[in-house]
Amino acid sequence: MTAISSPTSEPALPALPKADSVDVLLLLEGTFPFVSGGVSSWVYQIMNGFPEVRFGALFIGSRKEDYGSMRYTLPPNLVHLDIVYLFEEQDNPKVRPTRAARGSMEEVERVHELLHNDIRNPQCMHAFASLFDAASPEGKVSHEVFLYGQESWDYIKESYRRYSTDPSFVDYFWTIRNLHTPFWRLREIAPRLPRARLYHAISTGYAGIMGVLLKHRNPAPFLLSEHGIYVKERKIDLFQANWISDNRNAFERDTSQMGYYRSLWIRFFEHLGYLTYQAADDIVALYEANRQRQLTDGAPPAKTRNIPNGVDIERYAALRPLRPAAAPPVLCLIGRVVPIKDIKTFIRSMRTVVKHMPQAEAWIAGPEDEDPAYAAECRELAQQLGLAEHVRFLGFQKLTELLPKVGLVVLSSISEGLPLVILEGYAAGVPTVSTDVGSCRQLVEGLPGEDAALGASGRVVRIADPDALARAALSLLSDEREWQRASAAGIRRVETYYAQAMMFDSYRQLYHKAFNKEYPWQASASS
Amino acid sequence: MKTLYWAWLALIADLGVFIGPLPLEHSLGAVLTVIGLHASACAALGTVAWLMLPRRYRSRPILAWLLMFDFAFIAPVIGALSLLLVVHLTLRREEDDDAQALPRSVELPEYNIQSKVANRTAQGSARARLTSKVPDNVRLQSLMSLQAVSRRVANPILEDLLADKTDDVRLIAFGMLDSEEKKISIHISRERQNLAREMTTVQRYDILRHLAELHWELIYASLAQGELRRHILSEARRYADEAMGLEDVEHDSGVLVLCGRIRLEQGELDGAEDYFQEAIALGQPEASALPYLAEIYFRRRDFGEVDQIMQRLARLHLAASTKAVVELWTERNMLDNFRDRNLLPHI
Repeated sequence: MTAISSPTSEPALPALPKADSVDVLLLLEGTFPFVSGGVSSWVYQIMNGFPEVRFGALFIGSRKEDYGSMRYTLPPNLVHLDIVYLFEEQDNPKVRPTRAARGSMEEVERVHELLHNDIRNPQCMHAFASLFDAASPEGKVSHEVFLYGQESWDYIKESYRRYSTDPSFVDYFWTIRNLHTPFWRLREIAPRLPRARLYHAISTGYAGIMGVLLKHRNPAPFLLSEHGIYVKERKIDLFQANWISDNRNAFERDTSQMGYYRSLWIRFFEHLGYLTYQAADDIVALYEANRQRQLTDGAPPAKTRNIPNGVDIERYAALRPLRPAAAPPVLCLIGRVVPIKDIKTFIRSMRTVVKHMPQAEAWIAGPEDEDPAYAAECRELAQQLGLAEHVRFLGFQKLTELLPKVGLVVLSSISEGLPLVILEGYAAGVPTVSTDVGSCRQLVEGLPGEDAALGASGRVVRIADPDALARAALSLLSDEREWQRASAAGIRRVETYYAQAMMFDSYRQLYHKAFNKEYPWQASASS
Repeated sequence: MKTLYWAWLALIADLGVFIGPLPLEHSLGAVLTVIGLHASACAALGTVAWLMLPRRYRSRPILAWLLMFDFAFIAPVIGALSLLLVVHLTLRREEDDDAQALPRSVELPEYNIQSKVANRTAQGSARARLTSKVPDNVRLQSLMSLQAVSRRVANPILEDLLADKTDDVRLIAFGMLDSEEKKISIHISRERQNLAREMTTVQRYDILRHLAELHWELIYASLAQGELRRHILSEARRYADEAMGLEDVEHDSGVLVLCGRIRLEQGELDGAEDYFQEAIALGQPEASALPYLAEIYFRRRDFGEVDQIMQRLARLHLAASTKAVVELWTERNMLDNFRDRNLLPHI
């Protein structure tokens, strides 16, 4: 939760640092430095953990208005920062008849053919990267060619006839345009990025595919660290998205079949993920279940490994003596007030908690500005349920001041990776009640073997189950001995398996390996 | 285009240098002056020509500029003139291109679904296709099909899937339930705000009734469980009772049925019965109120009364699901080999 511990409040964007070369170029999509949260905290932690490494960063966002000011003070070893918005309103090149260079559409067709039918072909990733690189103003597939080229128009029409199961050509046309536009935005920024000894993407998707392009242009090792699984998250968003149209009529529609455009978007992100996995030299997951998912999505097993998050134990251990002897009847959810945290389930659970423990309080400690509408809904829900006296919205809080006052760290999220707040709570001696998402069961019950023998450091419950969440919280808060046992198990678990130094050691090895590598791509490129 | 005037001026100046008296003089100073003036004119020309270059040729600016300059410098006047002619011709070409870039109608491709292979192998009930033994992609498709099913049927299935081992299935189920709950909550929130305003008794009655119905909808659609469910029920009852308590308003039988259903759900059978009886007396269609009375008698194990109500219902025009229950009660003695599942296919 370093994210919340160290935000800045400057409204204006400060001048961005620039450099010609860096050691590590971080490729960040929708995270540091404009969004607070677990991934951003981790990025900040890594940069501070390697003061001798010169970092650069590319922030990839959707539209400028979706982000506020920077949430972090940029560390001194971040020597370059660039920003690109993929869906910002932007002037297209001037409209004029454009002809594609001879052979360019054949190359486009070949890459699409490979993606469609033979993505596992080792040439696919190289062919894609080469085509992506040709999406420059002077390249074979410039933005003008895509937007105005007769050949491009013909190719879109032909693809529609061959593949689309949705009758609307207009929707097909605009879906293709929207799908592809980010490639030109990313390609445009590539030449102005500094040369790097290592490209380090924090997700697949647009950040990952940028890594593929940069590696193609300047052969250097490419490291991918995934906190969540980007493809899975996009899939879930897309399954529920109501902006995607489905124009099939009553005779064409089969409710068990997904609409064409929805499946097109999903396939698009699956392909980006697959290509990123192929291009990456090392692929890091936070925990085994995510590594398995990466393998399912096409990551080569030999490249994958797990490096769990870690926290600064000493910092939080100092808080243990500050806590009162008995566990305070305070359930604290530390995190951004956003739908993925399912704050509403936490609030709903308080109906049951206060019925059995009237003095109990729910604290929600985290910024509310990322999704103000959701924050308002949460406040309204607390009112509706008659819990206004028991639910407190604290906004940003310093963890070192907050943790000694709480009895439980609660996580009601519907999706998580390996949440730092649970570990930070453990280090401060606070057990947790968490939903069964991401690695939370592993963090609470331990991995089979020595870890599990340490005992449960809290409780795990099903998502969106307020009653179960309440019962789990009450079972710890109303039983002093049980609470102490969970607290002790949490301390032992975090000290044994999740110390920050262990994570830094693992990344130090990866960085050194990359810095000292005679790079095979380089050799093949020069030959 | 104003930039081009400077180029023409530079060309005239260059011409002036060579047709003027300076080249005829035999001093070093004159030679250097001629070269200097010529170089200046060429530099101006080179700069203008460089600025006119399409962006894609400007990636190496110094080399591009030097090329333009050299061209003008090496062949005095003629080089400059040629350079300007090329610039002019290129610009005209671009203008012509722009002129052509007027909107024109294009032919759209025809759509023929017959040409695509439709995968229609997904058979079986949604529940069967959502079990963990089915491949995840089929399960996800099946989840989509639940969007076409009534909420009362779909929501309990989605509720079960919240404990699914596959993240995608679990999260999509959550998303579907959450969006459903959100739709209702937004209305509740709006009506609660409306309730705080000044209004007539009739308006107040309408809002209270709507609030009671919205809370009831959360229960009916299985969107709340446990303590939360109890709380929402009590809120529904509070709003319904408050509506019933208003004077100078014509109370309709629909609110009475709602009051009865809330009490029935809370297990207050006597209170519920009173409301249903009163609703029927006020004109509520028997087809919609009698089934609840039957349920009350059934819960009291008063099967004789249930039988009588079923006889009354049998004479009415009923919904298919109610009709199946009525037939089970009224015709069971006439059937030799009845099987519940045949008579109650919806169970």
